[in-house]
Order: sequence, then C-alpha cells, then structure tokens
Amino acid sequence: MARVSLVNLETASEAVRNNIDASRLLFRGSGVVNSESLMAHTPHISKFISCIVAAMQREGAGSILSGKIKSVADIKTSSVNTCAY
Amino acid sequence: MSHTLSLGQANGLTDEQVLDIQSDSYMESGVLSGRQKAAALWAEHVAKNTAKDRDDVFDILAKQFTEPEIVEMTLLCGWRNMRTRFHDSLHLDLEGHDFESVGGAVKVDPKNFKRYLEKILEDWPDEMPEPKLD
Repeated sequence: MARVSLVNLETASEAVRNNIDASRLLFRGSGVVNSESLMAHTPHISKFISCIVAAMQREGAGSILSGKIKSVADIKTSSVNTCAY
Repeated sequence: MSHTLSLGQANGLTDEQVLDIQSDSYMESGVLSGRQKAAALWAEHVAKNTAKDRDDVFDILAKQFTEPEIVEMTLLCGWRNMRTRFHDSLHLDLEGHDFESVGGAVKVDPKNFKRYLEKILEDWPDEMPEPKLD
C-alpha cells in the first residue's frame, strides 16, 4: 500500500483534471495509472514530468533512440533496482 | 506485469529477450543484439553508479552508439533510476492493468505533443503556490 494517498481524480481540483485530460494527448491511454494519481499531489510539477516521460520513454517527442532500445535500458535498470512498478 | 515490462513488450521485445536482459548473463545472450547488450550493460553500471569508473564499459557503449545517443541513453538511465526510487520509496502499488489494456501508445504524435504544450499554456495559472517558509 502506498505511503501517501493516491488522489481521487474524479474529485480532484480543476488543475489536476486538466492535466490528466491533456496527458491523454501524449499517452492516449484511457486508464489512469497509480503514478499519475500520486503525481496529482503536485499538479504544477506533473505538467513537466509528463513532458519528460514522453521524451524519455516514448518515440516522437524528440528522442533519437528507438523505443525498443530504451526498453532494454529501462528493464535492466528496474531489474538492478528490483523495482516491481 | 510491471509497466516497464509491459512497455517493453509493446516496443517489440520478446519474452526470451526480456528474460535475458534481466539475467546476469545477458552479455552472452544469443537473442540480444550488440546494441541491446551495450544498452543493458550501461544501464546496469549507471544503476550501480559504477559507470563513472568503468572505461571498459563505456568503450563497449561507444562502439555501438553515437555521442548524441550516449547522452540520451545516459539521461534515460538516470531518469529510470529516479523513477524507481520515487515509486519504491513511496511504496507505489502496481495497479494491475498493463500498457495494452489502458490503450497506451509507444509513440507520441508530434502534433499532439504540441497540442499538449498549448493546452498546458492555456490552463497556466496566474499564480503559483507559495512554499512554506522554512
């Protein structure tokens, strides 16, 4: 269980809901993952994090590395850190 | 399945490749390319903070990647380490739905990235929160 609460996005502030709506443009997904609910505690910082996630973890936002090679580094890093998320 | 593994599969990595990346013997893998092995090796040493002392490891990386790619790869590794520490320190639970089930995209549409930035600017607050005085 998370050490801090996850923000309920249905009852969250307008700033948070605007962020979530905007992030759909980047990631297209229909669901909200827990990291988004956690980051909703800091909506103004979250705006910039979404940009970095797009650039670092996806193609099409300025990255010159393929998604596949980036996933290799991501998976190895998570494995070394024994991160389950 | 973690988001990292789910995204890896969506990016075209096979189960066999994923298992080899996670293993200690990935440099001997028969299913990983030279670039993939070099990326995993660099990621391991950045995560352990041993990359700074390992010129031999950097040389392997530099044979496979251009300088701009090396910069981006190292930035990516640092970013991923930040994310794992952030999630682990706050005990963030995996929610159970994977990348595909939430309809995620492996590629951002550049036009949508521009629209995202425009939307963020449209919603930009007139005032930012003031921090507590410490």
